[in-house]
Amino acid sequence: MSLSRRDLLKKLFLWATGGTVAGLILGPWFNRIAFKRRLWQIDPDKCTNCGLCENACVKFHSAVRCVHTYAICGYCDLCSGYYRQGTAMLDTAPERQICPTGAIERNFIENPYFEYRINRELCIGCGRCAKNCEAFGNGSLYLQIDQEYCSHCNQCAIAAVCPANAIRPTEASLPYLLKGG
Amino acid sequence: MYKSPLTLILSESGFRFPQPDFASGYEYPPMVLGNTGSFLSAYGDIIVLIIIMTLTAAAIYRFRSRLFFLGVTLAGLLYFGIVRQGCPCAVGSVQNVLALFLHPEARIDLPVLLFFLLPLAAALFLGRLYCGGACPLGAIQELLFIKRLPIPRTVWQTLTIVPIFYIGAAAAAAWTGAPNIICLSDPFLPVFHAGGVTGMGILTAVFLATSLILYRPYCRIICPYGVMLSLAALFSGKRATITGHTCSDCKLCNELCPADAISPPDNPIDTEEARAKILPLLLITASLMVVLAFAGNLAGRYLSFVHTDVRLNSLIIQQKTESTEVESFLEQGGKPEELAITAGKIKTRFITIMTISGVVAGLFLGISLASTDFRRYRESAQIRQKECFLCTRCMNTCPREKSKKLSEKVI
Repeated sequence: MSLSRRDLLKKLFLWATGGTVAGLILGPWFNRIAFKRRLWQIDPDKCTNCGLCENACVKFHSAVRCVHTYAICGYCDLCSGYYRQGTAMLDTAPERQICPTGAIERNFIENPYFEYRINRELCIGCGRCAKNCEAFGNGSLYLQIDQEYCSHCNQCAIAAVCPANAIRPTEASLPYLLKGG
Repeated sequence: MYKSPLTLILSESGFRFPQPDFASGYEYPPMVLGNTGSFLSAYGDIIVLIIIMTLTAAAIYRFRSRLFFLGVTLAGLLYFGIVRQGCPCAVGSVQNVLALFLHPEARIDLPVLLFFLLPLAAALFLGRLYCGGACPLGAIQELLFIKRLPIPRTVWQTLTIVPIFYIGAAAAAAWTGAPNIICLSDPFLPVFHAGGVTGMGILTAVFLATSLILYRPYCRIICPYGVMLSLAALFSGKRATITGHTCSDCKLCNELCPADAISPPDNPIDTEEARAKILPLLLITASLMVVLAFAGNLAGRYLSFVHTDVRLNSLIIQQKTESTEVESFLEQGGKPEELAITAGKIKTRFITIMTISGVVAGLFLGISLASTDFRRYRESAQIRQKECFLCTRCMNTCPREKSKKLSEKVI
């Protein structure tokens, strides 16, 4: 296909005009374009641990996980996030645990302190531990969207049903909204 | 680092249980958090999109091959559907772009914006490449389709007003800061994700089943982005042609075309009849605009419930104070009186936008009805660019085209 000079100039002119018009339309909105994809996060202050995250996520295994800020944990022996209420013995028997999947590991540190770690692969984001920790403990266990499991949907399906409006997109420079410094 | 206000308040007042001073020299383990992944991964999708659209263009305009086209469609379905699980997609990006113009605080991710702009630009020059090759929603329906049920074209044309209402609803949602309703009501979401929005399964089943006997039902009567692309495709310079030879008016392509997008050769003799129809058509258009505006007005009232504030307000009015929504709203210091005012405003906006889209839909319907009555001289069968999904079926049935290929082989 041969292109005469006139046609080439004509094409260049058309492209330049189109580009300028598009630029003029989009220009005022330029500062509202996020060049790095934003990420969905739960605001821990608004979250009520209602438990909808477990099933509202489009993924079969929800991308929401329980996270633990160790710095605000009380390291209690009788952890309200770990044990059911009225537990007779403080051992690691499954029937005493709140967690339906046994995702919380309890490790002895020193008398009387115990450390609690979350197994990310087992956690289903049901928020039962977080709800009790918030109600009876320091609130060091709370729910957050794990960016490794998140599909980064254009519209988070959990955000649409969240009763507390706690889920919002955050800038890529701040991938996690966490309690504590 | 982000400091949660709650933590600050708690640390001033003291926690329920004080943080222990460990005698054994225990140190806090690092928090285990998933990696965010490279931000470039989002731009990888854009590169794949460009590659797939280029291949689609090659399949249609260069090779004119149905097999090549199906290969590209399958590749698009595999990447955007299975690997990326249907997100990002250009259909959902419509509301993000609308929000950019309508909502003062809305932001948009550049990959999403590019997903909106690139297929639109391609449609302006080369037709609906995105619908044909890259869209995972279209690909499912393309591959499922077996045989078309003979439904008159007028029905399809009437149903094209649905996307206009859909865009209107998305615009209203964008204006009021509601979640992206296009993404949430995507009926193919459960196909790509194992999970999905509750209750969507029925709609998914309906669309998958009808895809077998109707060609691309979602694309043709729902898709809000498809209507934008088809309008852009009207201006496209490059057009798919059925045959390079003179048409023998065998109407094979016309009968085969699943989208009913081919006009047979025509030689109108009398235009007097058409001219006499102008006035009635104008009247019909005007009445359609009025009727659809009322329909939009009614729909707006119910559609406003997609906004959380409206739902919350109705919960408060119904005195359902035990619900989590109301509880957390009051806990966060929300005032029901202010909420009632906001909810009222949101409702008004929804009603306004839906009424306007009713008027626009009426105008569109009038124009499309009128266009069926005006005949133009055509020497060969022609593809209607607006409705064509570039599936290449017609090119591969045309007997003229086949004989040309055969004669080339003999020589």
